[in-house]
Amino acid sequence: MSTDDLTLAARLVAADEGALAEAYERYAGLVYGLARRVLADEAMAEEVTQEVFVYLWEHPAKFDPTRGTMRSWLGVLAHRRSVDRVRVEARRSRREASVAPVGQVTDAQNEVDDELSRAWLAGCVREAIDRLPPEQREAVMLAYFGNRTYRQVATELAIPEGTAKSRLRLALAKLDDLLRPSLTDQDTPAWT
Amino acid sequence: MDMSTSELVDVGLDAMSADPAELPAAMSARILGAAQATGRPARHSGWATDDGQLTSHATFITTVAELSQLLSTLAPADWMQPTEVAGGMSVRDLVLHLVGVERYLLGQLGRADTIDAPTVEHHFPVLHAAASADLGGADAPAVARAWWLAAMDLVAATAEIGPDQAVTYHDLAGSVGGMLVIRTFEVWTHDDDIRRAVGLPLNVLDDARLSLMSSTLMGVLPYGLARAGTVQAGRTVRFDLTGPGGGAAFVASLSPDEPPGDPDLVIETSALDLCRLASNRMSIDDIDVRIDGDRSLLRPVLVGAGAFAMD
Repeated sequence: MSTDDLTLAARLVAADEGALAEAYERYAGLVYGLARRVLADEAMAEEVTQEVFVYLWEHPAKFDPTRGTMRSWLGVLAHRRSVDRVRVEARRSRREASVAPVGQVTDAQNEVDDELSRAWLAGCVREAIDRLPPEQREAVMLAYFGNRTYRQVATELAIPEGTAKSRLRLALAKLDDLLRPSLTDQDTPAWT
Repeated sequence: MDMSTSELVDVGLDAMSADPAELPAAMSARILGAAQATGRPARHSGWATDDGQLTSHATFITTVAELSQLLSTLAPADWMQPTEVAGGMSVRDLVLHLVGVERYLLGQLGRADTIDAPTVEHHFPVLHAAASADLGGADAPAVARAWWLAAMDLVAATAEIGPDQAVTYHDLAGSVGGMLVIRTFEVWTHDDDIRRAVGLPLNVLDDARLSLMSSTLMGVLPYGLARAGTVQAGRTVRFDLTGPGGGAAFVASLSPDEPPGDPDLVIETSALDLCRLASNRMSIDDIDVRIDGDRSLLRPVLVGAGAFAMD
């Protein structure tokens, strides 16, 4: 947990509008990117992004720094709301096709269990990392789990710094592809 | 190489983040506008500064964030370490005490049940007991969480109330703005208490906070002498503060009833040491000073500077 995140959270609690703009700068890419991947629809992704940031503004004290980072909390919120939309759309389609009776989405369904969600995502990422090409996996392991900088990754792998950056970039893109099926599966109860 | 859940989640989120360049045009303005339209009460205008100068509200927030960050790094054994506070109170109990302080002040601001603690002698026993009532058996993470929530309640309440409303902190009467300076001193001091207990380097505050804290202290110095019973009628001191947060000179009367005159004593010392003295974490005998003038005034002045410490 960084002091910057904690200060930002407290400034949001203090109704500091500058803090919301800062939170947007820091996390809009994450929220929008995640929503777009789940929904595959830019307009709906934008709506979800707005919902998440307005929720952050109205309920900043819901963020609990003893349970995780603001980044992962916003990630959970973005994913849950995106999956909710997918479910609503699916129900609407079923209703229109008169396939099955449709129930309301209950509060219980909407409850976020951060720990389970995080554990679920961590499991997905772990599996995805195992499927990366060896040279990309090596770079990711050093950068994310060995806390190395680009330069240190390059030194340890005896490759140019540009190559280290490129391997990490490719690895993240590959992980994005590998994670997408899990994220867009509306029956992922742990994450939702 | 171990892969923790947090690290794995971070990798996943990094992989899924959109490049900022991909964000829809004007989405930022739409979202910030939608947030403003929610009708959430705004922060009190008294906390806004034209020149971007630090407020005591901002110093309190940053200092709370630093302590919370420190607590997040502590191992279970660290929480049981004795501190040098109140006869060896553990780290856990010290944080529990902070929960009591925030709750007490929320009561003083009319935002929670009142806790009866009229004098500084009540500071530790009564406020600790107030938090122990529901958290006595709580584990360390629960205590840390309770403190964060209580501190956020105080942040929210003071943001709305503004700096000028009167508030009484034990037997100290002042404003919300002044109270948050005292709270910044306290949270910082206990942050350092915990660092000492677990063997970490002390927290050297940034220049802006040290400057605000030391200048506030200089502003109330005559009242500190009155509180300590060391008033020197008709005498004046000048402090030349050095080091981080220093670079300024302050002239103060040594009696609250008189305006300052020409300095009878000039004290040159570091702003950081002065703040530690004011927090009762540096003794008068240990503070490094250079003086010019009436040496007999030094001790009464320094005793007065430490008169607002709660422990």
